[in-house]
Amino acid sequence: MTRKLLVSSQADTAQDLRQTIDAQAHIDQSSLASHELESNTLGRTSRQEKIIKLKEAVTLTQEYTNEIISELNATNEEVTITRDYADAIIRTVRGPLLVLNKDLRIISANEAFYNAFKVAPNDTEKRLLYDLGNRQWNIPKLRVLLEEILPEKNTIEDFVVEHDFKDIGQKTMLLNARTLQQGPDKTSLILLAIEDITERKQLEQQKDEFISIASHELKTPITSVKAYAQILGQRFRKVNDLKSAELVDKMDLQLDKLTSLIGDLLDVSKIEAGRIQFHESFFDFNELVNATVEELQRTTEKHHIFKKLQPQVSVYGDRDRLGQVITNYITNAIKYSPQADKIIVATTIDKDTLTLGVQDFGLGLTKEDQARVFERFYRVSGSDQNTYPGLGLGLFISSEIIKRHKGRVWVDSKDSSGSTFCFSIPINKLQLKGQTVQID
Amino acid sequence: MKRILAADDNPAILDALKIMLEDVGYSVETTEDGAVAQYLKPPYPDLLLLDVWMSGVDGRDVCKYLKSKAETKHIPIIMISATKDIIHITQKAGADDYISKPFQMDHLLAVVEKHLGRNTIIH
Repeated sequence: MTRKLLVSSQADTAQDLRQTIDAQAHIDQSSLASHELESNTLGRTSRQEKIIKLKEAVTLTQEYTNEIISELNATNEEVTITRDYADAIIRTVRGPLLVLNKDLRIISANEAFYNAFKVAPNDTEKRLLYDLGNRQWNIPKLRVLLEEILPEKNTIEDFVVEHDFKDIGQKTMLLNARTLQQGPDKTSLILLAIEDITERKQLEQQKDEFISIASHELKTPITSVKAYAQILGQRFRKVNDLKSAELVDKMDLQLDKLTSLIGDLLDVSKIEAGRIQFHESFFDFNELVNATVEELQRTTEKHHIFKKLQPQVSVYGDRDRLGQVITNYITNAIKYSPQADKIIVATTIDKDTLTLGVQDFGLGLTKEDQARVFERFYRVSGSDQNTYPGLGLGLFISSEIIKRHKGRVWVDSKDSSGSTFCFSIPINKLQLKGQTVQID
Repeated sequence: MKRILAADDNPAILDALKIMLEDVGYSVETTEDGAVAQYLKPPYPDLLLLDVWMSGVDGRDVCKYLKSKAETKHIPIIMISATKDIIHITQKAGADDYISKPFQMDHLLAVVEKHLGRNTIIH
């Protein structure tokens, strides 16, 4: 009973508990003594026996008490260790961290929070989060997260909140939060981690701008070299020097490849930044396939590109970007089937879906390659690493373009018997997610 | 002989454009200064090839300005740029046509011919 009483009393320290136990023991002892006095029938021997028993009882109680005290000390030690552990984590974490109660009042904050947001502990603890720094934290999106999303889901993961703070300027914050239940009455606590990603965002933006500028700057000399090459080609033809003209044409083709690589780098940068722009309209899909095939047929003497197209179909989407995907599929087919002489471009229509497949009769892909071939930077390596040069970006860009058309990409392949790269897109009016304008 | 003004801040591109267009019989003047294109004086060229990004001058503004003036709005303007969005830039600026960089000579000549007519070209 004593043990129960003690545990439920939630006494703060072992010292308090020791006093309580002593008092209880004293009461027990006194009640036994008074009971004895009331009895006149007991003999001396019997009394002595009683005294011995009493002493035994006291000793037992004492031992029991000691045992409880040592258990409590151990528990106390555990609590201290746990608290120190939590404190150490909060203090060690370099990112700002807040502990809030369920009413969104701040219970504690770490140094990183005070440093990052230029607030003092006195102006922070016990305050309502929104009231911090003259209500600078009264951020609508934060209110929605903490008042609507967190109570429902108990966690918030990687929410980006942008806010212009009066004292520290524009900040981009990555928020993570978790609700914890604490103590016997399960009081809710909210742990809110605020990562300041302003600098990272700025660096990403600088990187994107740099790639934009670099690609533009690289295209300028390519434009003039390409123009001179074409002038030369024309002049050679005029004097009937066809051999020289052919060399210049080859140079021109290589310049096109260089341009396309620069374009890929720029596209990847735009995709990563979520700033790839789509210009959708209705267009004749077969006309696009025919034009693309005709252009690419000129780049290969070895392969003949056959077409098996469904009757005229109008597609709603970004014509240039879809053309880019078809170009990518066909150039890959040419590149990866050096021993073959044909490529088949076929379309099928199933209800509201248009599927295009580009079949080659080359080396085929292993199961592993098939699973990963649309990943960014993934390159299929042959027996010789240098067999297939490239940045490993084309199929990644293609898959992103098709995703944005609410379609899907896949590849069918059997090792050593070629591959068929496919995409399907809905042919009803698509809702493309056009975003901000990016100028390169 | 039809006169073409080409404005681009890259002299090598201007040089190549001049050779290509003169080879087929146009008279070509070039400028690296976007302001020259903006403040055209008579006699006006028959066609303007205009780079979108020039040092200090935005080709789109030049185009809008020329298209807003009664005396210059008839001049066909062909925008040239390496940006993928050239088609939309052209539409917004009110230009008549566009050429993407790097360009194919055949395509350049075809676009110019579309706006100036075939009769001027001496092969």
